[in-house]
Amino acid sequence: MAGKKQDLIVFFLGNPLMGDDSIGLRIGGMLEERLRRLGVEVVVTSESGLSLIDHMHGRDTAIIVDAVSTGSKPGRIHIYDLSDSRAGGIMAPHYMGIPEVVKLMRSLGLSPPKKIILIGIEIAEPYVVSDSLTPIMKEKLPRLVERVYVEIARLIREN
Amino acid sequence: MRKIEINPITRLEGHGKIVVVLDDEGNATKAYLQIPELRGFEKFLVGRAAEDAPIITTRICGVCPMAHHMAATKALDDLYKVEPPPAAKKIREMVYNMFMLEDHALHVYILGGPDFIVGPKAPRMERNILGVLRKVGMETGLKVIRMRKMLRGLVQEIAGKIIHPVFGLPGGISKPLSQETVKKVREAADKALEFSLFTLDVFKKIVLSNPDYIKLITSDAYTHRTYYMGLVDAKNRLNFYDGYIRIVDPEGREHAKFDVHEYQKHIAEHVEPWTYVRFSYLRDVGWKGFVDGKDSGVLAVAPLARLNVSDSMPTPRAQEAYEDFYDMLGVKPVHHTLAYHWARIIEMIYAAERIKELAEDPDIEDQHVREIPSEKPSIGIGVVEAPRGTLIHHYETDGNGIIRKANLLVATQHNAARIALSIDKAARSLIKGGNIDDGLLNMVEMAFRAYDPCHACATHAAPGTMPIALYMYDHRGRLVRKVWLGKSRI
Repeated sequence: MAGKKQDLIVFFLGNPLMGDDSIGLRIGGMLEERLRRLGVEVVVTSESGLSLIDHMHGRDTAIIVDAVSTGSKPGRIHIYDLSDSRAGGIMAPHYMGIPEVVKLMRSLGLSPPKKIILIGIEIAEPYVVSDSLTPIMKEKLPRLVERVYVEIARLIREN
Repeated sequence: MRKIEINPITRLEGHGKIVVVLDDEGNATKAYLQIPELRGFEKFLVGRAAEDAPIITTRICGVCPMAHHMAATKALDDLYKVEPPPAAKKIREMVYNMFMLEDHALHVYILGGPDFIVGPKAPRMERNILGVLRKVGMETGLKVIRMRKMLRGLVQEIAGKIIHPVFGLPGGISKPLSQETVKKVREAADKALEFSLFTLDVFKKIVLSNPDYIKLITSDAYTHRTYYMGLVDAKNRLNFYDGYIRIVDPEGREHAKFDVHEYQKHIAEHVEPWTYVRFSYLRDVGWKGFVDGKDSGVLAVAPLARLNVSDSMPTPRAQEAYEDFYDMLGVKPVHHTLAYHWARIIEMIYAAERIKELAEDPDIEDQHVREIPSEKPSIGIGVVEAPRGTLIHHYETDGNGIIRKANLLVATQHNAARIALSIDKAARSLIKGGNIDDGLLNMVEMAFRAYDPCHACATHAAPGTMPIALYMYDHRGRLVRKVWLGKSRI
């Protein structure tokens, strides 16, 4: 798998009408071209859960860029490794998140990515219907784009 | 277990909660569902061009983009007083049925299925899609995934991006169908019908052959005698895309049948201080609180309601399944909430048959798919049956088509009062003497899950999924227990 960049897929997720929740999509829009030049596949989408199966099938590595709200400082970047199989321990009864999707793929023999990394961006305001970011996130956006790019480039090198 | 950081889909901190209040003896005396404030969508539409509504409203949430797209598109037809050509209407309806089928399948196998297929009291860790697959075989899992992929692929081919379709335009659709696409749809319809009949078979074998389940479905804890509402065609048969709104009373007699333009005459909205959900009720019957019966304006929508308001199914295999349904439950209307699951499967069969019917209609390949609007806009109202029930979009614009006022009347808010009734009744019937084990709590949860509720748009906001928790208080208001119920389409 080393060096085979086409085995890697980068997702940028979010809802374009939920203000700060669109941060992943915005960063994706700005990085799409640069990342494709590095030879990786990029998906910028509002889809989630089960719908991601089609894209993840057969990949070695998936990187997901998405908004998170954990209570820390807006603009902070959290990196989570979702690859580990503890996913089985958090199987929600009636909804599918990434860990559930991975587990489902595995049991159906659909080979999920071996490595799944979430780059979570702490947002300021998750509850406002708006097609723009809050001022604080708007201000942070240019720097976030670069920091996310650096993170992804690092992950690609390590892949 | 709550780990917001390891589930990127659960991006948001807020959560819905079911609150159960216990008396001295540990019996539930009251239970209700609370959803945090998420609003502002209608305001967001004001000042925008009406033509953008079919695109913007699909972004309300990722759960039913096609339902909003179609309701908005039909509202635009009405706004510009333009009648789409026959091919356009039929293609819209065909695509719409694909979406309904796929969405229902998701609920049957993943969201609601675990309760029945794995068992209502099975351990929480097994009550999920993997538990379902262990019971019905991995091959079924692959079938579900393949079916979804096939239908979504076709919707995308015809309507553009699955999550944000760019398809409906005032007076028609964006492009006609190619012969090749029509051929693919016909083949897909056959596979979809086979899959839907297979699903009914699974349900019969696992659920209907088990007397305990039948007892559960028909038990008083899950029964409410309410009014029902849904779209029907000219012969009072089921239709998801178009028709008249029909309401039947708790005895099954027609209470009203009207064109969507008259919806405000019939449906009113009740507001409670403890929730942001607006509760629909029948204006002429009146709001009498969270009670059922003929004197209470509480109504229900979605699969069970749609079967209850229909005199028959318009397609043969769905008709057979429909007759079985009423024969076995013995009475019409059926008032059992858990029968929603069964009704949903019957609707899958109908959707598959309807897709086939439309794909074989000679009009479907007609290249004339749009009438250009020429009237000056003022008011436009559109209706469809969304997976979760009757969905109405109502726009008022200035002479240039800029939205001045928008009202979205969504499915879950029609069901909201009955959902509140269901949670309360299930909790009071099941939680006794302080016995609050996991299985019992799930059975309370089942009371609302049957509706496949989606409070994202009932509170008029996104993103469509939300973690939900159960809080239990003693009579002094002290929190005695808090349980995470996982995520629901809330």
